[in-house]
Amino acid sequence: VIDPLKIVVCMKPVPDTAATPRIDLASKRLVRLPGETILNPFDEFALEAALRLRDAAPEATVSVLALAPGGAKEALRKVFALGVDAVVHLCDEHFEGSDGLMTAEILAVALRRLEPDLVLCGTESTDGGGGYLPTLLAGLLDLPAMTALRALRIEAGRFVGERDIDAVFTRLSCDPPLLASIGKAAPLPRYASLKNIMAAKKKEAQIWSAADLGVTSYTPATELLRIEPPPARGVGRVAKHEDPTTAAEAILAFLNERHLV
Amino acid sequence: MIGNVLVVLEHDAHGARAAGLGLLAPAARIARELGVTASGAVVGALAPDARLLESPLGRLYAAESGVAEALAHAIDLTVAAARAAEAPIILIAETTRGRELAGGVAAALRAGLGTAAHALRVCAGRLEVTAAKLGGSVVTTCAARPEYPLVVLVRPNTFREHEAASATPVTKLLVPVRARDVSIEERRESEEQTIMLEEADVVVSGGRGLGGPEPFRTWLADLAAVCGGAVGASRAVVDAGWAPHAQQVGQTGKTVRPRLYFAVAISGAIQHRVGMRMAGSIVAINKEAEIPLAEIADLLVVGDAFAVVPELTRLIRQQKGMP
Repeated sequence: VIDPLKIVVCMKPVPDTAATPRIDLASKRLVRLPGETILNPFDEFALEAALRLRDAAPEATVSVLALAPGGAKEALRKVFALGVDAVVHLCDEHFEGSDGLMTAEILAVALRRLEPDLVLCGTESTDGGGGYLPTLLAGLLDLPAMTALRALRIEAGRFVGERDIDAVFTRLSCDPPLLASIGKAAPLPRYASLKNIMAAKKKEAQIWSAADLGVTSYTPATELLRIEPPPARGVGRVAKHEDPTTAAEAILAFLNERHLV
Repeated sequence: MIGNVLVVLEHDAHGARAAGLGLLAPAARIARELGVTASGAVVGALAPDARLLESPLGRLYAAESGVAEALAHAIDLTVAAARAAEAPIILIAETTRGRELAGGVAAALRAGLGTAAHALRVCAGRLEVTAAKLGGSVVTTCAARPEYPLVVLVRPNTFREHEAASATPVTKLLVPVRARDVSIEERRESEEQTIMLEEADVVVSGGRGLGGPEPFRTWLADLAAVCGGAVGASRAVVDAGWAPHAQQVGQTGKTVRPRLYFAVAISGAIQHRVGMRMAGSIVAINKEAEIPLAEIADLLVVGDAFAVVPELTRLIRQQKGMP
């Protein structure tokens, strides 16, 4: 029996997709403005899974771990309103320009310190979109991994996860400690209660620096050579046809012109 | 780091998946340009698909034994193959399993990662990986630093190149059983062979304007079928329960890159566009002309989708001489 269950949810502050990102061409880095930073929507499913486990075992604790610049502070504060017990914000100049491996290595150092029974992640992020972080972290921490789950529960002290991806359903089990990524087929994230919104105003994230973690010497494994605007798509054609056959013929003519049929 | 190229070949119950097969020629081309060899790692099954026994690769690595369906097994086999092949460059098709594999392999090899790759070029003796990031708003090119291996996730359906094939020998590798791992308690695979959305050449997506689940099962599916494609859906459709989540295209769904994308009754919010803007050709059918999708559509037909789409299906069927 895991008592009390200690859950850490990794959440990534990302630029709001609706906002147009700006790139600083000299440093080749993304310019993040605080109002344009949101928490990765995929990670909200992981947080919801954590809160559900705590609903079932009220003595459990749920912490959120994020590696992000200082501008993500407001976005991170919002999770307190959902009833999160603690937020650890890894924030340091040394972390800027981290690539996937370096980010995971830094998160892994923090997770080793937090010693959770369960690490939860979203399946991917809306900015990088790599989707490799959960298993990368699991590998670095030497933890078993269950991925893209639609449900996660505890039965007789063991984690039981369900996955239904690409026409294959699997039911998985594992003793703690475990790392799991929660997919979008899992229950939708909850809304904050008024009581928690009020209480959240008084709470602060813990800030951990590179020196706190002892990770001042890490370097990225990859280097960014170029960053460019996307190639423009040619201006498309617009055709208006009252008669469906004429409309369908116009589409077929276009498909034939491009050898698409 | 100078070394060979390894391509991961994901298998399911129907054999090697199309996404991995599409990487055979690029892997062979990159190896040729670097003056090294290319080999393949068979994951998800113990025996390689027969189609791989004649390929542009120099060698295949497959597991001697073990539970091939397990994620840890796939990771460990790939790592063992990378070591046996002395390959610091590992190409993986960006499917759900591919992404999971990439993380595990990168952890074991302490490798850098390139993701969402749509171009792979050898430049001054090293591999450059080009990818659209931030919902397609920027295009980045990256490479591994000299002392690091590189795991590259490649967008399925990206490469249309060919390399000469020859008989490919298979080397069996021993994959040690992990001391502590996830157990598979139950596993059910759908009998039906479906075209995976991210691997489909043609995607026919429907939006809220279709008014209900019916068109997704009938005339939208018919158009997809005559094109040999798959049916997709907008988020609103999935949220309304008209189509399963596996069919969602967009920011919180799948990113697709088919040769041809039909957006039927989809206005094209930014969250949808980020999932399909890399499609080869985009045809939109909508009753409105003033829709955000018009910015990226190659052809926008303003009309009644309920009438136009079945008619288009009939015309394509006729042209192809299908009954």
